Amino acid sequence: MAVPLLLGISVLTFALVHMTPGSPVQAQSAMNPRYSQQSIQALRRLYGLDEPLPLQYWHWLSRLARLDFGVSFRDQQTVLSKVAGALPATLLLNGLSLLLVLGIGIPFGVHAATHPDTRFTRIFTGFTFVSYSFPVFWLALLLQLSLAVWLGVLPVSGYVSPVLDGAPWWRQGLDLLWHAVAPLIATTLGAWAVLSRYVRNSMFEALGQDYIRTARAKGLAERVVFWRHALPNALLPVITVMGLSLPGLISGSVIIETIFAWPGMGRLAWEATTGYDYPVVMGVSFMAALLTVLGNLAADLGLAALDPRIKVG
Amino acid sequence: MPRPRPFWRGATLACGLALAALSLMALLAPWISPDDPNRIDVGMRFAAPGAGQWLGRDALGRDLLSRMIAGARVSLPVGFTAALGMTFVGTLLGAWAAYAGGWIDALIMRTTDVLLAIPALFLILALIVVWGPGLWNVVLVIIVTGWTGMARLVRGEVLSVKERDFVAAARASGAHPARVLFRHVLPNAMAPVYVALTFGVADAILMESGLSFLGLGVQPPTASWGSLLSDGRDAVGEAWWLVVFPGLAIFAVLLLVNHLGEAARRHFDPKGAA
Repeated sequence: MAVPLLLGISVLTFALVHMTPGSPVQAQSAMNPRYSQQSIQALRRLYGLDEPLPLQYWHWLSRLARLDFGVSFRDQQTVLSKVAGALPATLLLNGLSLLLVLGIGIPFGVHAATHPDTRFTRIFTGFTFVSYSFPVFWLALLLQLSLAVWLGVLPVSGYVSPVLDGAPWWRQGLDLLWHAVAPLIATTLGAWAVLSRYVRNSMFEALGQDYIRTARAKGLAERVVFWRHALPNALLPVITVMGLSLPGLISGSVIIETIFAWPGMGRLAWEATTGYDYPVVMGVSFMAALLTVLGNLAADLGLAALDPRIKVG
Repeated sequence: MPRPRPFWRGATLACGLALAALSLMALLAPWISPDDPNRIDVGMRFAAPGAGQWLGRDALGRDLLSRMIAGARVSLPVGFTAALGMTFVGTLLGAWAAYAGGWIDALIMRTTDVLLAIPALFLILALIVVWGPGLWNVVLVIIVTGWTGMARLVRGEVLSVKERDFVAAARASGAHPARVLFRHVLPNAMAPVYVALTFGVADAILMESGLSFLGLGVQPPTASWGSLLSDGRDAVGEAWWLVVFPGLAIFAVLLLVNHLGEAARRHFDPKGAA
């Protein structure tokens, strides 16, 4: 499944490259002042746009396989090294956020499912609905406004404090986490509502199944019914949901990283887009798609490992 | 058989009326706007909310309320147009895939797989760097990346409706396949599409404001709620009102639209309401 998907993505990015200025399809862009003659020449050379189409695609594919996306127009660094430099920041932010989403979302969802018709669940339902409509970039700005500008307890943006150059590693690590607090709140708040709502429905459904009635009927303690029978079955589909929510999470990092000046892939993509740095945009987009496909693959394999009903193959 | 409960009642009616009022406000903008949204008055730079400027003024002394009313003329139509566009494309391709089967079905469905695998915003950035920023490109980009979910939904519905007896009857009586599809199958497969369309409006408004916020949507001096918020970001230390009010407008509209979506879901599918 993953291989044909990656081939499809390579075709799509190839088509995108073909719509860039300088390609035969967009010959009229030669008149467009936005693109210098020089950069058009560079694009033609980079993508080999003068060759026949099948040959071009073959070259494109072999370069993708080597993760060779050419060099940035702006600073002549290779795209791969730029992406590699941005990847850790994105993985750190999204990894921590994923942990928080799971750590907060699952208990809340389970509690709401086992305690319906309580005030907690009513407030919970209302909150998840409201947070679903809350634009993440507004939330991020409100966090900056309240925590950084008004209260002054957190840095407005950035990744590390420059004054700490040469400080011990643990001091720099703490500083990094300190900078991550506001972006983390922003990425987590929307995602956990979606997840916990899903967990609630899944758990609610599991509790109504026949095997739960059987477990109770044979006299198992409610604790055992809950931990051994209901919860594992309710959480299995959550793994799939996590995999499916990966594109959204990575998408969200474009906005979050741009607002908080977090030097990850999202910010790199945005900077490259506003600067018409084609090789970088194409490279980052392909890498984001690659990450997503790998994440989904991991979710599928994890599910297969945990659920004896599913076989790999 | 009990009569179905009317859709427009209670909170749903209130949400619908509020959206209608907002649309009317956008329509009548030139007549109700307290000030010219693009009139620069540097002397009034960052004037706080108060008489004369109910929601304050921005870095160039432009009236925020007037700019937000002008912004509604961008954000609302873009949201509705893009949502309708992706529903139209998705319905057509999804129905075609289900009806034609074979390699057409495979081609359309594998395309949705690929589009769904690429994180939407990265795909959108790649499209914008090719097509350039701007309002109508944003609509186009939202449609290109957004039709996939709708196509899958419609395909599933059409596949199940296609097997029902009344479709077999229509086919047996010699109706043209296109007639069967458009007169018999599609109308009976549309209920979940209306629900998805409503949520699609919310998604499209959110996407437009996000892109305008990133500077890739409307270009200055035109205002959309997203670009106003981006102005607010530049002034986060000086003028809280530039951050609070445009975001509030987006949030409020999303709440209204999402509530309508939930109501539509309950209305069309009373069993599955969660």
